[in-house]
Amino acid sequence: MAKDTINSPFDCPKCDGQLNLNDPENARCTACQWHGQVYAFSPPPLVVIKQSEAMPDDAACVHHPSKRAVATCAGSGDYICSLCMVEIDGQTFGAAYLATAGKAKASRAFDRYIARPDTHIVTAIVWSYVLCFFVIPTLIGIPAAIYQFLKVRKLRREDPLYAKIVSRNREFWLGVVVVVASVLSVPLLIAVILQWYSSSRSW
Amino acid sequence: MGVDFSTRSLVGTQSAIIDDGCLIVLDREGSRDRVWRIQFDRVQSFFVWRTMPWITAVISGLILALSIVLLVIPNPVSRWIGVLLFVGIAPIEAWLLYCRNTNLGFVRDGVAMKLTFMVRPAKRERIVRRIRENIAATQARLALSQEQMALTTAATNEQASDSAIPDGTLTDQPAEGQNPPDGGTSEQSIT
Repeated sequence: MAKDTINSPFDCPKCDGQLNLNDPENARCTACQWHGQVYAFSPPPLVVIKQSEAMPDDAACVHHPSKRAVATCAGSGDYICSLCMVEIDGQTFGAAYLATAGKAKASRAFDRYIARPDTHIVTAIVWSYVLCFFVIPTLIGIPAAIYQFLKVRKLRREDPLYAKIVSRNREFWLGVVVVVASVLSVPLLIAVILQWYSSSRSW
Repeated sequence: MGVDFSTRSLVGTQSAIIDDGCLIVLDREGSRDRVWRIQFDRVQSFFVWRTMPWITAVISGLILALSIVLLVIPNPVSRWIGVLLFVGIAPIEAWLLYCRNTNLGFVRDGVAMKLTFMVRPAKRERIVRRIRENIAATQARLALSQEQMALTTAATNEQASDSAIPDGTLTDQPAEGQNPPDGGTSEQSIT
């Protein structure tokens, strides 16, 4: 994905020139004749939550006793101030919790990569069938596909983003492919072993 | 749910999901995907424009021309090859000309981001409408929450200023004729 720093939010995306925005559905660049749709938004100004001093009756932050608590950590239950607040998937956690017991949660939340075992299932099956004349790839390919499918199921349960990427429908069809490939591989494998056995006896 | 749109090209596969409050873009990298999130809360402008995928169109156009040439040659073998090529490439060329590349541009806090994909025009309109609605809803929700937060902060500050203890005021005044627990007199509790 391309990223670029620009001067104005309404510059031409092609040449950074001036756009004629009379009709947002058909905006035109006066310099390069670029045309397209332009939609303007007015985002609310950025608000910085200032940490405030705790009054005698206020709940104070566990880590900053002089600061007023504004939330409770969803992991540890501690009162935390705005300095300690970290929001992950709509829940508020304390920075201290994420640095200790919630390390796995933090690393998952800030991870920029997501594993895609679903892409390997078909590859494993195709390769096991392409190389089906060799017993070992078949023995490895089908169990690998089953293992990847189990990983898909586990990831779907654990990771909401992965559950969005791989729909229930897709999971079902992947399961069907794995089951059919596994069932078909058994007689194929037996035939290959029998062939190999009979040829070794004829020697 | 699945991905909302995806595109395959020579440089890689890219998929995107319109989530609540952000657009999640997935770049295929071998056995994993690189995840990019374009948060809608601070999007200032959203551009949509179409371009022609020239390189792909020219290559497929050349193959199409070759297939037509093969069809014209009076030889059954070349004619069959021409038919196969034409049947294979003509739908691709038609699809390229019909859909063309759709570019989505976002400007968020002065940073422009661009995303290119190819979908049917009807689906493109649907995607653009969903993104626009999502951006507007996210920003409205954020503005509302900021307003509520400001009101809460103002109320809390007012409460705090009301309950503030100015110097020289009497606090915890004991009952008449009763000394404070530390044995001092009521005058001693004057701060």
